Amino acid sequence: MKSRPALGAFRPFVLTRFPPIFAAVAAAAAILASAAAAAPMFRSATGTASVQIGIGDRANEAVTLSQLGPLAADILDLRNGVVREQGGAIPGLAEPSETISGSAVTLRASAEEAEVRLATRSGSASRVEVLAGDPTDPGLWLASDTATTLGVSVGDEIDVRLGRRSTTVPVAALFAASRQDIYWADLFATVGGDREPGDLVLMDRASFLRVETEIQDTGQQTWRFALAPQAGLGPTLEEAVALANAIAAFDRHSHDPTTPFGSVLAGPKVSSPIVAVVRAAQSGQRTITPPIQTLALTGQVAAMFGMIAAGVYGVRRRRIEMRSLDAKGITWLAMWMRSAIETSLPVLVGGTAGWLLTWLAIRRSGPSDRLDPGAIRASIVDATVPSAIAIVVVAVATTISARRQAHEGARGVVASRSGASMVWEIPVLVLAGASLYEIWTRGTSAVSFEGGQVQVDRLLLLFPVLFMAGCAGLAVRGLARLLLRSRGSASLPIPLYLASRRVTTAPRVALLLVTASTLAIGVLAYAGTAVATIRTSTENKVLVSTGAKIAAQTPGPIFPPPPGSGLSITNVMTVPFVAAGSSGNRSVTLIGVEPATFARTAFWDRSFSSSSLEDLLHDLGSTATEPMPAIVVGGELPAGDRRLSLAGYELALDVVGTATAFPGQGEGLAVVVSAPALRDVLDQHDAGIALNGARYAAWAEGPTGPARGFLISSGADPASIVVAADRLQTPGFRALAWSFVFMELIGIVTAALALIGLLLYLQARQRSRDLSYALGRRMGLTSRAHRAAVAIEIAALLSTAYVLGSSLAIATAKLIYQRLDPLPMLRPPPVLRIPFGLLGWIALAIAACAGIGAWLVQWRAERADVGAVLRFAE
Amino acid sequence: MHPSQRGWRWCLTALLAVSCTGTPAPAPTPTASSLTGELLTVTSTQASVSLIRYGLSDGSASTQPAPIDPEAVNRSSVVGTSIPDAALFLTAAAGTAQAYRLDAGASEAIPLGPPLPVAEGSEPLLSIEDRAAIVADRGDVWILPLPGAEAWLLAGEGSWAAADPEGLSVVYSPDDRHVFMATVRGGAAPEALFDVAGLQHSLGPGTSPLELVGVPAWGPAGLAFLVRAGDQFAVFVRYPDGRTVEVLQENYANVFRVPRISWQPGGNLLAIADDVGPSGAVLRVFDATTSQLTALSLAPVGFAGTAWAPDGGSIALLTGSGELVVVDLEGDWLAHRETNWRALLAWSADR
Repeated sequence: MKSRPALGAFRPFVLTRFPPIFAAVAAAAAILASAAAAAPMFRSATGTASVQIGIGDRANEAVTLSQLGPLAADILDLRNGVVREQGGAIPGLAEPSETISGSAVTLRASAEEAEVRLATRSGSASRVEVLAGDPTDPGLWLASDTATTLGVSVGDEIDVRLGRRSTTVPVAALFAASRQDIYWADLFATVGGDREPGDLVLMDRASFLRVETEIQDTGQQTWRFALAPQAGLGPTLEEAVALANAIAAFDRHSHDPTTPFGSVLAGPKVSSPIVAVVRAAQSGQRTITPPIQTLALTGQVAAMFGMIAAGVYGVRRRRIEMRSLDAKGITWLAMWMRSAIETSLPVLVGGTAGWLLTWLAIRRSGPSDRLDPGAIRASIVDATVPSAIAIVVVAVATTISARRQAHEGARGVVASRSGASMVWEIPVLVLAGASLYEIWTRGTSAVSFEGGQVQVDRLLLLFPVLFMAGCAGLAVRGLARLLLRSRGSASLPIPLYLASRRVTTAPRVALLLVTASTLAIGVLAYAGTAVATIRTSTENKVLVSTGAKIAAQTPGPIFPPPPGSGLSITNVMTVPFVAAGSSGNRSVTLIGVEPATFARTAFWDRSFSSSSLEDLLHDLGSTATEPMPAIVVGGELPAGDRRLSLAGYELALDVVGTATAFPGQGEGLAVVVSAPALRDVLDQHDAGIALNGARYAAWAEGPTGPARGFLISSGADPASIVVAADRLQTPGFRALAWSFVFMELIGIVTAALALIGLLLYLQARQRSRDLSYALGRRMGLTSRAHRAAVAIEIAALLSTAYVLGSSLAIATAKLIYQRLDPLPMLRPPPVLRIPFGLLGWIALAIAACAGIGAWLVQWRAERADVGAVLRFAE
Repeated sequence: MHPSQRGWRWCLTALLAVSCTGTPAPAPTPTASSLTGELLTVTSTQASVSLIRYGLSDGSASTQPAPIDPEAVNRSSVVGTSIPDAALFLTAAAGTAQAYRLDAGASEAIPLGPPLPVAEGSEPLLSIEDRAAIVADRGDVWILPLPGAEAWLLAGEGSWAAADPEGLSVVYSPDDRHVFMATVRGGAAPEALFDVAGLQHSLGPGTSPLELVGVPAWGPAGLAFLVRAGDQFAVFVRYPDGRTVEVLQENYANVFRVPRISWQPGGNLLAIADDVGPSGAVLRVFDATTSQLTALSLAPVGFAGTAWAPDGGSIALLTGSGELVVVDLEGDWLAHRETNWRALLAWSADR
């Protein structure tokens, strides 16, 4: 016989004797800790991801310092020593690469001369193809063309002259280096242009310093610091902030002549992407903080209610013990303390598990897998404080519930009658309506820029939650009435009959579960819809603005890439401000494309036109015809007046298609024609001059590196090269997308809450289920039919939630997706994207829950002691 | 001692050693406190001039009136040096040049030898070392042998001159091109040493004719001197064996300034405070043994004075904006402070 505990005895492990209660409280505590801890960890992950995205492929140029001036060996050595020492003191930076280049000097050998630029760069010997000689020997490294021009070979002496001064240097090696190699790009960019020396001549450092000192040249000394390998893997925001602060101090000191560092430099130029990247990441963190805090708080409140419900359920489960304690005269305070101590263990276990799960989830599925130690510490504090508060609150709730349990006898306490009858959905929907009114009438977009700071509209996160909660509540109320009217018909198959009877005889619990699950699925589906919509819309906008994955300005049409390069290139010509119509008072942008190559290279979304791109291009043709086939984009030209005026030449148009958007389209109306056909037509009329104001671009599809190299080698300005993927990472896009990713996480948390509901639902009905199964089995009910009935019961509840939640999510997204636009100034308008994949996964999860739940229930029912069940049945 | 006790001690010692060597100790940061000796500097107002003794080890400073005309400070007509027990300085203003001695701990500088009349308003060449003071003015070269300081002796002609480290000979140039050497007290005829025109090729073709400028420095390693050819400027060292090497050449040099050069006490390093070139003000040292030229420090404005440490291990330099920087021969800053000093006369050892 078990001994009854004394009134004052505190038993922290008592709930382990009630696994369902323990599990329910622990699970709710896990969710509470998860929601609380997620915010700092997620913020940290977004910061780190921002830094890593921002640094991108610029890890090799973390800091660049350059100094112009006379090239005297002793001063260059002094500066080199000091800069290396100062840069070496910055943690996270690797040894710098030093480059020194002079002005234009003349090389003279026998009767031949060549104007060149001398340069030396640390480590360059391993970055050239040595054609002859040995670059480790002192002297000049000549490109083979330069050597041919001068008529020299390795070992010959060359006169290096600047003004009146000259010196003699041997040729150490002949080399070849690619101008497209990013290592050499900046040096090669200083030769071969207007008023620039024709060739680059490399030297070993010692020879270079001797020569430059002797000829008294001036030039530039540059140090480029890369991120140290370990930092290059991706510094966290905290590490990047320290690095940025050190770089800022480095920059400051380099300009301070009262420091040893600044005194050896005179007006140096220091540049670093790190500082701007870090500031942007910090700004992004500030942007994302309010929405994720809002969502985290929502999750915590929901979890807190879950914990209270679990606590109250525990009281009901232990009602005899509660009545006994009450009869013995336990005080409110003692009861509260007992409850608090009993709740502590599951809260501790659940909180720890929740924190760990969150940590794992954010590392695996968050924006970055690297979290700052500071964020980890903050998340522990943030999870601990609400957990402690939850213990207090749950203890209060269970104490009150225990008192009521004792005084009200066997009446249910899970939900009071007054609570059940309260129509909470109406105020929630009023708030949702107010939010929607704000979203619609303000006319603002999802992100706004205030004081240089990106702001994410919280209403876009709050409205869906309020709207779906309210609608779910009302829908479930309606469902409840339906259920009460349609109790199971005897004509139904046994599993269906049993399931419908069970659901309809316990509508309150069942419907609570449906409401919670609807909200969870709705939040998850809405967040998924928002993320898909934002991603697709942003990609469309960026790709429409760039035209293709890679684009560059070119002086004119360029040749196609060699076969087998894996690249496809198309030339696009744009003539802005072309007068349209006979009055000429309407301006359009004329876009000339190459129909043969355009479709392979340019971006296209089928939402742009009712016709396919191939059909549109086919209709444009490539031969000169008048009127010229054209596609009108973003509007229409008046019928009967479809003509353009090109520098006085009237070009009649035959509109063969229309589109709402077109790659490369700017603002306003655009007319797309075949560029080869247009050139032919203009040539036929000697009006080629009409294209003098045209801008040319080459678009590329294929690997970024080779595409960039091919475009540069084809004459494209390296600074004009645009990679769409880089543009996708705008602060607005990132802030908005990550806000919804967090919302997805919260949706998953809420779904976990719904699972707790399922656990409670099953547990609450287990005894009656066991009893009915015991009786039913005697009347011929098979275990299979019973398991199927339970599965149908759970599946019906969750499927109802699934249908309701998904429908509400899509309806909600439809209401406001036009506002989910981080780049409202760019075309095309946002398109709604429904995440069918996500919805499929949710459906699978529901099926799994139903199956596993049914199996568990059946397993317990078959092991139940029928006698005991009959004794304790309600 | 019991063997086990000894074992414990070894363990403790090893642990201590590991804990001490596990993290490399940071290199000691040089501070003013690691410096010794005293700087003698000058500060002035429109009406008066003061001498300042600045203790490098503790940053202490004491001020006393200076027998120097403010005009001399404005014209940089005050130079100094240190000897074991005192600092010597030479100044010229108001028609008179006068050498002084400031003994260690003395509150007042005492005149050293008689005053030497100089042309009023002129900027004579002034030089003072431990064995002689030199004033070159109005075409005459006067030398005051030290430490006797009995009388100013006419040692040559011209406005460019230097005394050898022993104070026995003097080099001078009557026309800023041809250099002669004469004994201070002997009656021997001056010996023609060299013609700077012979150095023309070092400065490259097409340069203007060379002329001697500035104050030469004669040390055991040789005679260091400065020449100018239009906007070209160069420092040469003539070794005792007669070889002459170009140490430094500045293109597009400031023609209104002249670098300061001084030999390391008891050494072969020549300090060149070069503030005439396009690189700004550069403190360099030239190693006469290895012919290696090394930049030690740069400054955005010109120099107002330099002084070797008595041990020759560091150099104090005063910039035109009054910044005092002490650098070692690696270029590391040993001390730095803002001052209102106008000139740096000497760096004396602790006494």
